[in-house]
Amino acid sequence: MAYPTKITEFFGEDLFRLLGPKTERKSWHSLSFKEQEARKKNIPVYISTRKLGKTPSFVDILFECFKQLTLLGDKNPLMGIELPFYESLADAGEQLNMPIMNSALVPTDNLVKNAEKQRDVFLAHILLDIVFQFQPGLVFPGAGRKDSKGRIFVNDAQHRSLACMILGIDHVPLNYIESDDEYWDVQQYAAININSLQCSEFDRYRIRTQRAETSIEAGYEVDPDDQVAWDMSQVFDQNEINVTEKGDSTLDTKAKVLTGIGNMTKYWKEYGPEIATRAIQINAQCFPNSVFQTANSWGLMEFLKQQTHTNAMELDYEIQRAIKVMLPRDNQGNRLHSMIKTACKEQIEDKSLRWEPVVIAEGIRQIVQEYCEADIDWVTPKWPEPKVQYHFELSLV
Amino acid sequence: MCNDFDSVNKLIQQTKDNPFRGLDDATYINESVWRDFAKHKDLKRVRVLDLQYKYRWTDEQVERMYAKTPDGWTDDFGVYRLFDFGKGENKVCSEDGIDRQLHEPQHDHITSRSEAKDKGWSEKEINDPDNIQYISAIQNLMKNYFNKEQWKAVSPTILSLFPVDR
Repeated sequence: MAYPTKITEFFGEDLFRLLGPKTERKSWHSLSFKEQEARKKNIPVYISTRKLGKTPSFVDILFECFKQLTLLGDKNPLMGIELPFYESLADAGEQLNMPIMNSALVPTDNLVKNAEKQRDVFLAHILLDIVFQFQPGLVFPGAGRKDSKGRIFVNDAQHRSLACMILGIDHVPLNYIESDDEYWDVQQYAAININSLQCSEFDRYRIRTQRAETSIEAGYEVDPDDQVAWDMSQVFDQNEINVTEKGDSTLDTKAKVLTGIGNMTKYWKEYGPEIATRAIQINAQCFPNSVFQTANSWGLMEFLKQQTHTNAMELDYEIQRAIKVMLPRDNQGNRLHSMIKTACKEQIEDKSLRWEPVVIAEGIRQIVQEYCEADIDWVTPKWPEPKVQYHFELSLV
Repeated sequence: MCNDFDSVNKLIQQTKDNPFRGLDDATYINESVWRDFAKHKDLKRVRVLDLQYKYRWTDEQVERMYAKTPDGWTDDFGVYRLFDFGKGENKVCSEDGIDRQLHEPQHDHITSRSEAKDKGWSEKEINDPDNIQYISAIQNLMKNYFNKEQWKAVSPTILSLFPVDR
């Protein structure tokens, strides 16, 4: 086996374009700690694959990753690095003198746990997340080690396996190596639980939205959290808000780009869809050329929550109009919350600025009170601890 | 020299009384100046604070510059013209032309930078409020072209070079 043709045609048989001249390469581990750290900083955290089409091949994805590294020029972190090369997993096992991974449906009778190395059982997770929502297509192979006595130490998927057993299933899929060395229990556990790439908030939102859509299409019940993600996605679409991964540098514009989807989800759940939707709309319409500032929405939700004016449409319109008098430019989204927080910090003794949404809501109240010309009784936001209120005044003209 | 100074003066006064209310950097430079404006409601101060950033003045220098800066100027016909101190949305004479020349205040080094350097002044001395004045754009234009000696020698003769009024 060799590198795919698409890779070698562009990067060269021995990846010259990516790694530089073969004779000048050194192994990663021969670099000093300082050199490694300097190179680590240059590794792009995030590579967008959306531009590669709906179903990019892994060759295309690998090509894109290599390309992004080479585009870094003299900051390419792999330049001058000798990468090991293996013909196959079996070859790697031989060269490294290590066991390789097998994959099979194994009997649950043979499963054991290295209790010292594995974490305890989270029973609620087994019952709520797996048993009560059981889908056989989601029982992914776990990871383990088979010793010479035939025992299989499960180092990943103990919860999945136990859930299957609760449901009467006596064979589960497992990837395992054959070894009597306990070293592998720790290694496997660490590789999956420490070194693995965690799901980002954006990924959670993206997958939940898509799962809601496919569940609806397939006639399955929609998970409540998926429903929240889907509801939010409808509001974002209506307001042309672009939800993206943090650090996505491929976007042409920052206008209405939302990277804080984790926070937005939290606020949506806390304040409810009606208030959250209104706050999102006001924020998006006030600052169409700004990065979408979740803090503004947070403060708006807190402010809207307190208002008693019965005509929501009129109320939202007047809030938006007053904010635009104060901040007339479409790209001043950051100004709204930062100006309020700065004014508060400068005028109070408590610099920790607790109750951020109430602070922003109070700032918004001062703005609408000053700039709104309609006859509306604006209600002052409530401080969580009435005895410890922040008293501050915005500079308004 | 005839512009509709009455109307322009009125517009400038109206803008002073009803300034733009938005936090806009083109109008109020930054949040710090905005806060100062919210407190004093004085467009002349905005202009002087702009110079504070340019010349890194102390608060004392700002106050000195503010105190010496007039609200307008009187031409040789006795016509008084208010300075259009506003920036951005507060600017009245926003287009090039005679109104702007006559009402736009520009800061001028009383002893020019080059002359002051020849005399060995430090940058601090050159840019101190004592050496800076606000004058109209048209005055600044004419002062920039000629030095004091040239003015003395030539300017009184210029009038006779124009056709006689009929």
